[in-house]
Amino acid sequence: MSNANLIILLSTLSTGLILGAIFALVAAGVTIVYGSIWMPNAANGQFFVLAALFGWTMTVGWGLSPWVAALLVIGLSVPLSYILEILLIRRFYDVPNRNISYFVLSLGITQILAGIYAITYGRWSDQFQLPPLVGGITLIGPFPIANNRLMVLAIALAILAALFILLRFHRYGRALRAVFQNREAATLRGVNVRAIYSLSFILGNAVIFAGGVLFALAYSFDLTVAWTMAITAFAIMIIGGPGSVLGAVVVGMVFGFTQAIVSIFASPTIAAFSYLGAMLLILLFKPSGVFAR
Amino acid sequence: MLEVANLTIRYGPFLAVDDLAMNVGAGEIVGIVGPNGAGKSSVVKAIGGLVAPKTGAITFDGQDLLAVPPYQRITRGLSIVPEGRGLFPRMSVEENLVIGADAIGDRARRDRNLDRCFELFPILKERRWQAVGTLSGGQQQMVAVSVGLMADPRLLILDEPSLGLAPIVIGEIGRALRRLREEGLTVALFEQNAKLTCSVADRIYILATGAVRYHDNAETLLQNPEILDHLM
Amino acid sequence: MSMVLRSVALALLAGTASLAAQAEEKPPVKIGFVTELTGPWSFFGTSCVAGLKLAEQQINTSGKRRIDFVITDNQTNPAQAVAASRSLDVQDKVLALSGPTSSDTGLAQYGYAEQNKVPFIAPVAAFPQLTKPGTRYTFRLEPNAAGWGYAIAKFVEQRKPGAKIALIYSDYALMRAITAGLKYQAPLSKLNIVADIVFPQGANDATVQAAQVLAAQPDYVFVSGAGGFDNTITNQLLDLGIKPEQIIHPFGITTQVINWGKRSVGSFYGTFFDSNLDALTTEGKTFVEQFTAQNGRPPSYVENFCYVTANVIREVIDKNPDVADDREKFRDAMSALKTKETTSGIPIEFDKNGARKEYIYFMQIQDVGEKSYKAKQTFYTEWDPEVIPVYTLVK
Repeated sequence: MSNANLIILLSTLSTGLILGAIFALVAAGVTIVYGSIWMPNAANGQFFVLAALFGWTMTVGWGLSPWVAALLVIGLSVPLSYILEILLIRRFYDVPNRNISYFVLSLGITQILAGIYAITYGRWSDQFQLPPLVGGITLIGPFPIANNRLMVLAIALAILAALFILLRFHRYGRALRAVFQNREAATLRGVNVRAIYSLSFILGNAVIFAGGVLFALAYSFDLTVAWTMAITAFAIMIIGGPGSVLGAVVVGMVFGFTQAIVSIFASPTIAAFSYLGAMLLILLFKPSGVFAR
Repeated sequence: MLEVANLTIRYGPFLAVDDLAMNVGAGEIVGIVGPNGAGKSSVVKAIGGLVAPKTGAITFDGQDLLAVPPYQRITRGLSIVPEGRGLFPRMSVEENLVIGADAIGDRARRDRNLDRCFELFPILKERRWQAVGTLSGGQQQMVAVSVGLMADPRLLILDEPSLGLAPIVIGEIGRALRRLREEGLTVALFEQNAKLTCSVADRIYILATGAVRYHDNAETLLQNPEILDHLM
Repeated sequence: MSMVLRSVALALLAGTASLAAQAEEKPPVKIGFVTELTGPWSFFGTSCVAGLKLAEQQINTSGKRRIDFVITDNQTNPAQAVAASRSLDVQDKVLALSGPTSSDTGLAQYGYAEQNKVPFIAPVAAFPQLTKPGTRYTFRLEPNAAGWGYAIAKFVEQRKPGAKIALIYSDYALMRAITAGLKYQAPLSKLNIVADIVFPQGANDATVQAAQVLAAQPDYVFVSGAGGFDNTITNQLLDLGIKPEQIIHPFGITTQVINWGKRSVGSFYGTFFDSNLDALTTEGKTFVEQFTAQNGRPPSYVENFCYVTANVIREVIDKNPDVADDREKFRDAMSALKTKETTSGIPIEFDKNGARKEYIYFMQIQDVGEKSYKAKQTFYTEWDPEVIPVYTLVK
């Protein structure tokens, strides 16, 4: 294999991994919230960008180290989500067919946040670039990759692993999955379903925030990323099976690689459409999603 | 141990349970039989806190159960296996069992109870890593009964355990219940299958259209099968 | 009535008339300035307004009829641009419209202006169709984008005859127009396009595409991403070992150059005004100084075009005061205008379609700091708006 082809191959792998891990985080966050409280959160892209903007303000504006900023941003998502949950989300827990109410509510949140960003951050929208976590470049064979992006990849994978361990082996994680699958049975087994609702809203958003700040550390971003990410995360959730975290992670990684591979053989434009094509195909043959029951 | 008095449950205009009274004493197996729609599942749901009764009182060990949040009732010693088994189909047998014990939060007791369930239903040990949704109906029911036992309950309430099962499996469930009684567990069995119920219960309530129509010892009832034929 | 009496009466009448004119000052001339104060293009719109504000202070000296710019947000949204134009036309009865800094909002406003016969001065909008044949009321200060593509080919041809060139850009009307011109001119300039990679709007990673560019072994890489993606593409090309000296950005405003950062020293970018130009006029130097003092960074072509827009309107009204209350006359005066940019001395004159005699500078980045940068002028060219068939190349 020629050096040039090897570079293309390795760049495809690295892109697939980094983008896939970030897609997986966001889609996992969206699916955790959907699986428990039935909220198809269309505002996930705005939350994602909010995290990125916080990260930018903290590093470029206040001069904090990107490490500290990343931790602060993820930490900040907890009180923010909790306040939102108390003020708005909680009020719908007893509404039948609340997923429609939630969808409309989240579209409203999307509009409001997009408006706020436009007014507050809009005039810097070509300048959102964070300092790297680590400097330098590593050569993998002939392929040079920024250490910063390797670090982002490592952190994203570590967060995904932690999420899995939590969901699989911790009491709260089991309770969360129990609520996904059968609320009444979970109550009978001693699970406080309302507390799990709050917990999953907070956990889901924390994971989306982690995705947002990691994305900002790996790439320059602008406010339009919110829409792309919202659509991508929804497509991943639908293909993976709403409520399936495993589905979100696997399909998220597949999407990352799809974007990388299709863009070599076709073009980046077709790669972006390939998601939606895949989503339609899956809906045609398995409407409940690949990883659904 | 469990006292139900004046229990009335309505779903909108539909009266599901009408001024029902019953009790379960410590160490008993009590059967509550009745045809489909008699209100059995509504009573179970009210005991579990999944529906709010219109009127009535439910006490457990002398405490007002309606004042206890539904999710805390398991830690009081009241374990319910609902109609439809109440399992988590995408989780393994072992995970379902472990969730059953999460309420007591004691790892040693959990492991002991796990062993006890595997002893009660050895097939579950073989299938412990299999997703519950892929098990046969009989095996799922074994998991359901086992999950009900994982939190060391004093009272186990089973709603329609025989539904849709082959006679041979029903027999196995019945054997397990008798064995549990010997170990001192109190059981309330809500069933359509009068034969299974009479073969394991001490006392029987017969329910129809939301109210108790007949109440007697299981033995008396077995000797007078025309009562059952008439009421069911 | 005797001749004497008649002349005295006339003189008296004339005297009262001129007295009345002095006492009752004419109302300010209103110009509707619809631009991107919010939305994805707001970094252009707000920069433009900063340049305009500076000019507004200077052109309204005492003794002259006041010119007021009614600044309105179009939210980077074509529909909003039309709604705002209508309101300014009908409610505020503005003399002319101006303001957009994006081709999408510019085209929307163009449609309104041509249909309703409102003179329209587009400061920063490069899509060719804004001055398509038959255009009557629109005048554009910025050269059209297909023409930039022509100029980029000329620039590369001059640096390295027969060069191999790779294109990597976002799918926006602007970039499509530039690359259409470049692809048309490349064979005429004996350049070889070895890669042509388009990203959809909202793309976020370019590592693989950067690797493809590297594999094509180009001499020069034409790079243009939208918004933040511009930095991502640029950085990923540099990460993979493309040299800064190989990179050509079709355009660069101050914040972009600062974002590209120190690692881009040696790269080229196109521009129509730069604080580092060799030939700034005295007024141009003052503009740069004052703008830098007020905004903490030097201005670039966006600010300059909006500054120049205000100056052009002032000049047209000063030369023919009666055009200030008549849209047709104002249009005719704009069409006949022959002047120079006060900041750089570049000629301004419009052809029959409102397109300007076009030009571009190519700068090479020398140093980049936190708030400023150094660049040197390496190429300048001028061309007729229709040197290549711009209106048929890009629809």
